[in-house]
Amino acid sequence: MIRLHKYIIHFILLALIQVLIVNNIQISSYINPFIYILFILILPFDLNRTALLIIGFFAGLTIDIFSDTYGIHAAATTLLAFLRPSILNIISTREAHEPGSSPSINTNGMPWFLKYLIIGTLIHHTSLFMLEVFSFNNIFHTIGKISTNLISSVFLMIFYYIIALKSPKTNR
Amino acid sequence: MRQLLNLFIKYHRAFLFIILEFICFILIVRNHHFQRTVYLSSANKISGEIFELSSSIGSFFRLQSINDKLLKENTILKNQNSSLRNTKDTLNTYIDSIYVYRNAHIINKSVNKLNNTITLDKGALDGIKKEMGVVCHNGVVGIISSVSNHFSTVLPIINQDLRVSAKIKKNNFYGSLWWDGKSYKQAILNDIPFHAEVVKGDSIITSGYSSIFPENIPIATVENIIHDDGDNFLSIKVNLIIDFKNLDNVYIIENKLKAEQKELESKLKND
Repeated sequence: MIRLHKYIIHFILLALIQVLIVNNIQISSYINPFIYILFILILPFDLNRTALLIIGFFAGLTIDIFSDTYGIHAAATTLLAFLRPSILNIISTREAHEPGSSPSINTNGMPWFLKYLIIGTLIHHTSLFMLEVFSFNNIFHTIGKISTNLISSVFLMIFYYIIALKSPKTNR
Repeated sequence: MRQLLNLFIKYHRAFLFIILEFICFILIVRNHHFQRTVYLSSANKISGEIFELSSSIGSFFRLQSINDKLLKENTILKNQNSSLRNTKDTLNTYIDSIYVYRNAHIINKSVNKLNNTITLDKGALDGIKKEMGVVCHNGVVGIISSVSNHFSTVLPIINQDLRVSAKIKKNNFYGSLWWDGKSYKQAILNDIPFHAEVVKGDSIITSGYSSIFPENIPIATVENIIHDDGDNFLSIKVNLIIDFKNLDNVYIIENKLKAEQKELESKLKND
């Protein structure tokens, strides 16, 4: 509970960066990354799954309110929050995590963290862009959008992580 | 009963997940229409204030270029004013304008999504209502879709939910203009009869049939014509005149006689 404030600050920071800066990156219709989902991915391992679902839903809804998308982000983040424990089960090698710890580059290593980010982002982006077009008509256009945004989102999230989250090992 | 309860306790997360996703889908489906709720959009109070602050910081750095643009616009308007004065004097009749213009400032916009929106800093207290037209100094921008007290959101032409009635300037054939979601610079004009003569560069203007926009406001120019075999109508790819990325000040148009026109038309339908 002591570190709750840390996650709240990161959520506010990520949401502001998302709606004020990243949503205004207008290079082409193919590049429209979403970095706020990093907030859901870095929540502690031992967080109650029910709480995780509710947090995911409201995080998505917040972004929806700012970008006029009405539930599309909320649907995608709820799915991500629902599947997160399963992703962690599948890709984690160790059985138990330290209580209160969260996925990080320091403790889990860069390759593991990158794999985790890519799988989580893929689930989120696939559901998000499929819901946005709401049809299978332009399926290749949608797949193209998912893959270019997957790369740019993961890149930006790592960038944010290294600047804002990666602390010296003594802190953890 | 007890078994049912046990089942529910055992799978309570799955139930919660389904309920939350269900809420999301209701939101998505209910707001897929032209009329949207104000509370969950960028026109609500908190997000409106934040966007206004961010936009005012941004526009401070663009003041010089905006000034230049406004000066140019001013001169054009002055010229128009004087020439209109001359015509009015010669006609010697007094026609009360049925369209009222109000200016507004864009505080948030998107151009790279499928359903783009624009947020303006004028709302119901400034006399803005739903379904008013929005233009800028050289072309059509979109239609007001929701209004709160101090802010309003616009469905721009580059939103797939919007159809605008448009015609070809030189021969008056009219059709409906919609956006295919590909480039923010281009749109499609449908329902033009097969025998209409269209060449690249022809200008597309508002038809004036919808009572939202006055006639003869430029929208786009023809880029190329798509022939669809077995179809009686042409699809025309057009280049939009407005650059949505570079748009700051807009004008909201109120048609003072719109209620009267609507009433007459609905009477016709009822009979």
